[in-house]
This record gives sequence, C-alpha cells and structure tokens, in this order.
Amino acid sequence: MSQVSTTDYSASSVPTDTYRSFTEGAATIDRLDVGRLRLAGKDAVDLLNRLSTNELMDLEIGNGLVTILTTNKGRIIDMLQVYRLEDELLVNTSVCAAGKVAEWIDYYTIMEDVQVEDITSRTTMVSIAGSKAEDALYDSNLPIPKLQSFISTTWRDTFLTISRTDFLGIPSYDIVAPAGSVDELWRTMELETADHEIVETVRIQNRVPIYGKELTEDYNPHDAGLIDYVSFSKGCYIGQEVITRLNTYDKVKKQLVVLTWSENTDVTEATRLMFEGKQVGVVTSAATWPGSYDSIGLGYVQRSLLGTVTRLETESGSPVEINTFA
Amino acid sequence: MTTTATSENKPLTINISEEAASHVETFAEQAGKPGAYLRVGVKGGGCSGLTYILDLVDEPKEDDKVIEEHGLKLFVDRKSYVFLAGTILEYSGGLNGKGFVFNNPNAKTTCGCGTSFGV
Repeated sequence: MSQVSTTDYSASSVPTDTYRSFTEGAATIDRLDVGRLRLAGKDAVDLLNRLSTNELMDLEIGNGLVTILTTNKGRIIDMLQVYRLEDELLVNTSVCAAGKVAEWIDYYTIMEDVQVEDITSRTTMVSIAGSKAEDALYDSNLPIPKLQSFISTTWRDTFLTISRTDFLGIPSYDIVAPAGSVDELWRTMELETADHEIVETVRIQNRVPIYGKELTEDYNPHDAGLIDYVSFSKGCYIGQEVITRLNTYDKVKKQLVVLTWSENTDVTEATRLMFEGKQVGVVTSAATWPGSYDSIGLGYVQRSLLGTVTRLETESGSPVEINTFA
Repeated sequence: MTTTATSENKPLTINISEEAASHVETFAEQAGKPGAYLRVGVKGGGCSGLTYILDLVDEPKEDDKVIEEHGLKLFVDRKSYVFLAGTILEYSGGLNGKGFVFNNPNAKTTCGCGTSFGV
C-alpha cells in the first residue's frame, strides 16, 4: 500500500519488454484487490486511532497514511490505507478483508458516533504505476497529488479522487471513481495494462506484504517490516502492549525477506524452509522472475539467522537464497 | 472476582462498593461538581480491545440504565452494559492503589495497567 523499500532494478536479471514498460514507463493496474470503506461520524478518526497502530489524530484533511489493524495479541488483521476528508475517512483494505475490517470497527463502535459503509461495489479503482506515471496524469490534464495525499477532481463530468501511495514500492497513483464511469479515461491514457504476474514480481522485489499471504494473524508488524506504520508515542491501541514489548525487549523472532530459487525446484507458497534439519522459515509468496529461469518470493525467516546465513533448503534439499538487495 | 448475583439467579447488574461511592462524592466535590452523578461506559481501544470510561455528569442520557447504591446514582451507557453486566466498581487506595477498579467477570484478558480488557 505504500513504499516499504526501493529496488535497484539494475540488480535484476534481464527483464522482458512488458516488465520494462511497467517499471520504466507507466501501466494501469485494475485494483480488484482493494476493498473500500467509508467511515462517517464525528468519532471516526478517534475510534480508528484507538484501534490501529499509526497516529491518526494528526492526519490533516487531504492527506493519507498507512496504519495497521491488529488483534490484542499484536497480530495483523490488515494493513489500511486511510484518507482524511472533511467529515469522514476513506479506508482501503484488502478486498478479502473488507468485511472483516468493517465488522471489527463496528464491533468496537459502542458509544461512538461512527458509521461504516462498504463502498467497494459502488466504486472502481485503477492505479497508474511506473516511473512515468506522473507524465501519464499530466498528459491527461489530471492533477498530480504528493505522496500520501489526494486531490478530488472531475474528468468529463465524472468525479475522481486521485492519490499517490506508491503501493508497489514504485511511483503509483490510485484513481477512484464511480463504478463503470471512467472506462473512457483508461482508453484515452493509452497505457498498457500491467500483467498480474509482473505486478506480483514488482511487489515481491520491493518486499511489500499483502493480506492473506504475508499479512495474517500469524504475524505482527515487526515481523512484516511494517514498523514505519507504528507509532510508539501515541498511547494505547489494540495490540499496543505486545507490539511495544517486542520492540523494547528486542523479542522479534521472524523477519520478512526476499527469497530466490531456481525455477525448476519444488518451491511454492507454504513451502517450509530448513536449516541444519530444522524448520526456520516459510515461503509466503512466489513468482517467476521476468526473463529469467529464476523465481522470486517472500517468506518469513528466523531473525537470528539473518546476516550469517544466506542459503536455506526446502525439505527435499532444494536451495533457496535469502536475497539482500531489497 | 465476585459473581454472587449469578449464583443467586438474580439479574446481572453493576454494583459499586461503599468505598468507591464515597470516593465518587469526594472527587465530584474536588472537581467543583458537588452532587454530580457517575456515568460509566466502555469504548473500543486500549491494549486489550476495550477501555472503561468514567465521567461525572449532571443527568443520564436518554437510554442510560440507572443504578442506585450507597446513596450514589450510577448511569450506565446502554450499549456498554453488555460488557459490564456483573461488574463491581471498587476503589483501591493507598500507596500502590490503582484508584477505581472494575472487577468485571466478562473480562477474559486485561492489559498490564488494568485500564483495558478483552471479552
């Protein structure tokens, strides 16, 4: 949802033309993976601030931030991209988690004036991503918001909200509009539609975790490398005691890392990673590296090994490298 | 933790100890609100999920449940009641005292400082 780290693409193996057009030009991504909630009511900011890890009370109208919804054990429910409007919040979730997030917020709405509405089906969202994404907006006479801010505008009488989130770790602008209203805009922009596999590869290269794979209740924000989205000074929120204790006493046991392996090996998502006969990690995402015979993935690995061990094995002995470029 | 009300098949309510009631009166006077009533509720947040709210008020809100004990009127937010039924509000004084303490049988987990709980 936001930039976690940056990749030196020169370190990559020979990318394909499609890959280059995405990473060195601009392409559209249909964001069917995003759920959209509207939180109305005068207590919306205060409530979400009490339920999630980042500091929302300082969030100014027109700006956004990433915050994490965690359980009282500090485990991840979902990562949220939040925007503050004048009298409401717009909250992007994973589309698979939208219902769960809405229920979670609704459960904790007791005395507060907060109404949660799922607006996913009423709206459409497309990202313009790549190093030339800004040029693509400029060429279409669309305004260009700064990182973690949004601009509301109209395009041929259609209301649009444009925000910049860099959700893949590369420049990315998210455009939200009423469902079915902006097909002509995408045609006018004449951009290539990014292939899902390419999007997945860039996400993995930049160590961006997603719901259901890296973001589950098995992991906490420390494990997932999301500590930039945790405020250690805001006071209590659900899960705060555990997350702060892990930080204070340096008790984080796992870390999300980029992994590579030869394409013809038996590695898939959920493959267990071994070191000296013991399980020390698990693969959470896997994709083919464009233009090469290698595969790339994400996985959680025992933190104490990092820095000293660079090669792990699957249970059948296939090598998996811990990649340090990301 | 006391659950006397359930064991005697009486409806679950919220009780306030005599010492806690006395401290409410003292605090109300110190706050310049003599004769004010105590309103309790629960809101989302805190380390464990839910946080207690204590407030001095002049009158109940429309849907509040009103409980009277030891000469003190206690107003309970209606939606919060499900999380508080059976609670005894006590006061812990002295050097290591915590102030007002909610002995809440619904609380399955509490945070280190005791101000939040999970059900």
